[in-house]
Amino acid sequence: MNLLLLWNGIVNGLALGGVYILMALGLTLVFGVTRIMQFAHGEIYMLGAYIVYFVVTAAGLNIWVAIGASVLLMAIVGLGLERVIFRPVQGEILPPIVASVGLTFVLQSVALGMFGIDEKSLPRLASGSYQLLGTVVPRDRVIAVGFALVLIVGLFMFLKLSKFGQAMIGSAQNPQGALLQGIDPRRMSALSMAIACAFAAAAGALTGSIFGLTPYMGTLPLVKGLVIIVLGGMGSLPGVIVGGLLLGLVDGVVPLLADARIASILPLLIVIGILLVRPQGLFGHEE
Amino acid sequence: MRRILLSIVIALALLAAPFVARSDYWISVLILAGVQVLLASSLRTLWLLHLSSLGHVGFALIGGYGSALLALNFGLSFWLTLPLGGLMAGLAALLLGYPFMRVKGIYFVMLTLLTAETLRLTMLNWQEVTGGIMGLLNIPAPDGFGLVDFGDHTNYYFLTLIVVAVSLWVLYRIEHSTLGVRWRAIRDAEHLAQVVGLNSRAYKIANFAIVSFFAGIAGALFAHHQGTLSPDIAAAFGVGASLHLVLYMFIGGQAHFAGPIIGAIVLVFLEELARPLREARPVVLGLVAILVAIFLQDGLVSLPERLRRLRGGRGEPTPAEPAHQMVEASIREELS
Repeated sequence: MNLLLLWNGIVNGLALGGVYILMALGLTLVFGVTRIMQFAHGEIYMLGAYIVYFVVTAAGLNIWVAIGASVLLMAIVGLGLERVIFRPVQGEILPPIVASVGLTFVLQSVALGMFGIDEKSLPRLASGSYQLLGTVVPRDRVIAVGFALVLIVGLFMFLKLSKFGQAMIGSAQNPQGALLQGIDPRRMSALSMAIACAFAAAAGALTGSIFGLTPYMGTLPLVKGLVIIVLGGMGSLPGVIVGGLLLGLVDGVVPLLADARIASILPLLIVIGILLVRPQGLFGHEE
Repeated sequence: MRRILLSIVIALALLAAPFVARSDYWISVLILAGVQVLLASSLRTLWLLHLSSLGHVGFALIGGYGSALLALNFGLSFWLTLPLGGLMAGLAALLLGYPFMRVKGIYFVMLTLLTAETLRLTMLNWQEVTGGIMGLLNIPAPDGFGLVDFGDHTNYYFLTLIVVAVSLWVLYRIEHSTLGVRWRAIRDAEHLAQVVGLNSRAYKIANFAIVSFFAGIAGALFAHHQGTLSPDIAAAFGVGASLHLVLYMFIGGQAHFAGPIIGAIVLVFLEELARPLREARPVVLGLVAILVAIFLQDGLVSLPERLRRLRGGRGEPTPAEPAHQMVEASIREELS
């Protein structure tokens, strides 16, 4: 076993983990406040990336401006989706699953119709690479992870320090109690949806600039995001960070240590194993 | 009287269907609709415990591959491999049931999804036995009796019809037996059920094994009709297929036994009609799902009742709400 290769796997894994965490934070925020598992989150991610693509190619703007525009636009889309689709289906287990899966099908079809099946590519965030602790890391990945980190820290500060953030956490922990304190749960669910969609758009733009865009690009990060929040415990923010880093590491390192066939199954088995030992996830509370 | 008339009409329609469809293609659609009906209905039986699985196709996969491999490698007859395929799926669920039934709600949804994906990837990677990505080829059609050849699509349709009808009858009987009542008791008040001496986990495991058995049967029916099996993600055993089943069940109406049957049939045909849309075809199912989730949460089966009420006629009296729901609703009203 080449130690350098292993180190490389760890670095790559952590980079992927950063993007997965952006997805998972949005999912867990929405689930915490609304009890809705947003299966269309991967399509928000995909649309966010395509908006960047169009702003860059059609309007010829700088990619960072385009990412900003896309994040803003998807936050507004999130508000709209919350109002039109997700608010009426809240409450039971099945209706939100059905509605969000339906939304997935619709958005994928729309993207296919509008953008075609061919892969598109975004300009890279930066070229060149860094020497980092004895291994070569492409500069755009470092920037992507840095950007993700800024968003993650920003969200944590918002949740912990601002009045709105505290209200949101309160509403997630105890909707009735929060309501009695004058916190409107509808406003909180709208806010959580907007933040989640903005984060998904950012994640889509960041990975899109590294790997390219297709209408089906959202499926993998959605599944990763779902696995992370289940692993970490639904609605738990530290759980997302730990779960994301864990999953990124497993994804980065296991293929190096094990045969490719085993490597495709082992991460799933690890998560299944954790769920069986701790049915509420690593940091979750029992329902 | 109306019920008897309705049954006769349905029976005649089912018997006449392959002769109306005529082309092999449409008869094949009918067969696949039958397979989906059995899958969606058995998924609903699991829902009697308020457990929703996104891994139901995983057990269909066990049944399909199990039955096909027994037929291919040991030359066993379909009439043996069909029940054996079901039993393999049921046994797998029985073994998994003990640890799985500790896991609840959305965690269970994810657990089953991951399990089905693990099974699919195992089929993909275990090349020596399953043929890997190429899958299994030349799965034999069932042995015929004399003149009846099950390689013929019309005959296979009737075979499917009989197997699915018998399976549905069994599921219906179970649901209306003591076992079904106990499942619902455990769903509504698990602790109370335990207090009166029901071993709730054993009952849940039994449910999981039974529904998985029927998923396995459906998988075997599918395998011997197709003649090939593939572990490709876009094919029969991917996550998408499990998602479809949940939509069929819900859009039909999960509260009613007929719900998933109607849902599966209507939607399979709707999706066939949407074929001209090519890759954008899922948009139809997606829109229907969203609309039903928002406006018709009791599914298509509740549509006649809804229409009757809209026209101002007196619908059948709605059943009384359970007390705790009423209390909850009044509290919620007070709060908002």
